[in-house]
Amino acid sequence: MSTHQLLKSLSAAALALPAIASQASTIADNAQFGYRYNTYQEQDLAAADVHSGSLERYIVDVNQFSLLTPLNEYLQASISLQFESMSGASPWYTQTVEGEMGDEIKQVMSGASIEEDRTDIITQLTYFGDSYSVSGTVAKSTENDYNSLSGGVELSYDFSDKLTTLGVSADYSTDEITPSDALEYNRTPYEEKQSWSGHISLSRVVTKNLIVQLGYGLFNRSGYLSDPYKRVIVDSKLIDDSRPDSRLASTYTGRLRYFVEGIDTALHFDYRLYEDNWDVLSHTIEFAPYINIGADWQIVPSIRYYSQKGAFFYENYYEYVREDGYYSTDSRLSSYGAYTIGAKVNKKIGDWFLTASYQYYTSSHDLGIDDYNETSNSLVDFDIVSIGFDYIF
Amino acid sequence: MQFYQNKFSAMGSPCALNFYCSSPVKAQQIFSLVIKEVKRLEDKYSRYLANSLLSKINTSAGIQKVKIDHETFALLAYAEQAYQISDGLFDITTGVLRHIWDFKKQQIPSQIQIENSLQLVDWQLVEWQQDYIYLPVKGMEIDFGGIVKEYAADAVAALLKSKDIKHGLIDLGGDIHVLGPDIHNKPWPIAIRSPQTPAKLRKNQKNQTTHIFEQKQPEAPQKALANIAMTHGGLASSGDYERNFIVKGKKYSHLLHPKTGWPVHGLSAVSVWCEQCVMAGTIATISMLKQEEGIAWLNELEIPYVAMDHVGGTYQHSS
Repeated sequence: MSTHQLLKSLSAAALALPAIASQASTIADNAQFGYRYNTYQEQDLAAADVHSGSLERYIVDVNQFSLLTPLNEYLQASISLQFESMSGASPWYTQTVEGEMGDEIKQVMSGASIEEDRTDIITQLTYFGDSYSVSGTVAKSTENDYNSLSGGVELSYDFSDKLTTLGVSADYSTDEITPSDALEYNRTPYEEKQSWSGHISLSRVVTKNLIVQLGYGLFNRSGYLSDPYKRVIVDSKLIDDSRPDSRLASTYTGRLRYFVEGIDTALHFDYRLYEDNWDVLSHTIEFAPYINIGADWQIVPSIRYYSQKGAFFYENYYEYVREDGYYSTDSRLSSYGAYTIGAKVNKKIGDWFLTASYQYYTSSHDLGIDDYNETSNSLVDFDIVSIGFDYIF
Repeated sequence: MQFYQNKFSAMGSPCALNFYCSSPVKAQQIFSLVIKEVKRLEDKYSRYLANSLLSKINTSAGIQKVKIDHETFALLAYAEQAYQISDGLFDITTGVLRHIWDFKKQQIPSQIQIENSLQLVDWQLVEWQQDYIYLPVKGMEIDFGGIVKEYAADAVAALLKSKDIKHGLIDLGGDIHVLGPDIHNKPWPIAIRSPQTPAKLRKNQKNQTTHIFEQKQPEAPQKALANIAMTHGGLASSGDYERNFIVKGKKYSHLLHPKTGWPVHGLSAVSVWCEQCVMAGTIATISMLKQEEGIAWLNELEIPYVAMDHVGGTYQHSS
């Protein structure tokens, strides 16, 4: 390490001394502007799995702009804008086709004509007290067929031992769904959805190199939770995708940060258990070493594994009428597993922070550890490339 | 807005609190709080007080772990960084060498004594965690010399700031933290005493490394190594003039090298100023411990300092 980097680490240790730290507010000293460009591309479906429609799936381009600025010694405001443009095709419904081995289930896709734009705006105001911070967030998301308005509050409190931090947050959102071409395709013209969630977490510094965080979250969604664009063939009739009108979910998270001094690397281990009253249960396990190289470079390879047990009403193809009337062939409700591998490179140059990352995601029924329901043939593989910068004024 | 100056004695040094305040009652309250805070740190970390936490840690060496709080942990974490940036020269276990280097008796210990003592000097042997510290060998000691008095100056500045004091200066035996310019928006003039100040002048100033000229009450002129103007931040000094003895014409400084066990010999005095007094103190001490390489190291850091070597050569860098 260069002498300057050593000096920075000494300065950081000095600022962590309690009598000094109590004065060093966590509020940003300067305004900060950030930009990210993400491109998300789903891979084509296998031709053998598709009956008709486009093999192409979504391509999404996202431009994100953010601005964060201190207003005074205690208040900080931030605003972020996101412009998303999406094009491609999506799975529509499944049907059986006579094949050599008997009936085969095939996916019917929409045409590759979907073009969507979405604009998100998120504003946040944060107040920093001596041992706590409180923030309020208001967000609005607009699409031609979807509008969402949400608000949230978040509290973070440091206990006097400075080893324990409590985080509590709650938010609420109300969404309006106005599907495109509703008349032409006999779709529902207007639906509503409400969501709320609460989250609590406790972080604890266990040793000088180990931090552990445990969290619990409760999520509720009610109203129209189906996909207006998806259809299901039941009893030779093409009917709407139809899901229960409420969904209550819990998450249990465990996070561990372990700093390995010799190699200047922080190991991040995350685990999340998700369960809901649609009988969906999932495990997410992620590992990422944050490798610091000198004071200016950081490299973060990562691997994430996801396994899901599907919803109780999911089937890839419905041979029988269900008594409860719930039908969906949405692959996201099936049993499957997935992993993501990625790498990120961060670099600091003066007041500039540059970042670039790549992620590859692949999913299949066989990767899952649960094997309760049927294989979907529209599971997705995708990759995301992201580049961006932050500039501190 | 009135100027208040309170002189007091703490941490074995003459101290002074200078600040501007709106009322005498508030000024008195603030002064009491400052005394209380400095006393709190002294009671906790003094190696001369048998009941201090530091004494408890040292007397438990080789016997048991001692429970520590967050502040002590943060000081140990700071000491660890200081150890790292100095390649092991700033080692808070060095203090044990003082038992054989008796500056009152002015005796040079034998090499065998030094080597025996050095067995007890090694910060890396110390086991410490978020909530405890354990010195694994009986006789091992730590001390926060070069950290705690400086940290106390920063703590006082933080305290003044929390009481809305915008113009103040705390001087704890030469460890200074300046909080804003004076009431006329002018920097506080600070004279850094030269190690070559004639002895009779020095006698009047006790152990003070630096002295403040309060504009209204100018002190007697003295030979200054440098006069600097400060509006904020910390200033700390280290030098071999504070405590030393001379045997056969050779000066033995109280600053002891953690690897050789002998007093360092290179620079005569170093003053450093930067955002925190505690950092200034650590950097000044490390540059003394680096001996002949101290000046080159300070230049590499590109932080403001003034220094004098043994032949009276002065060096400085101001940014």
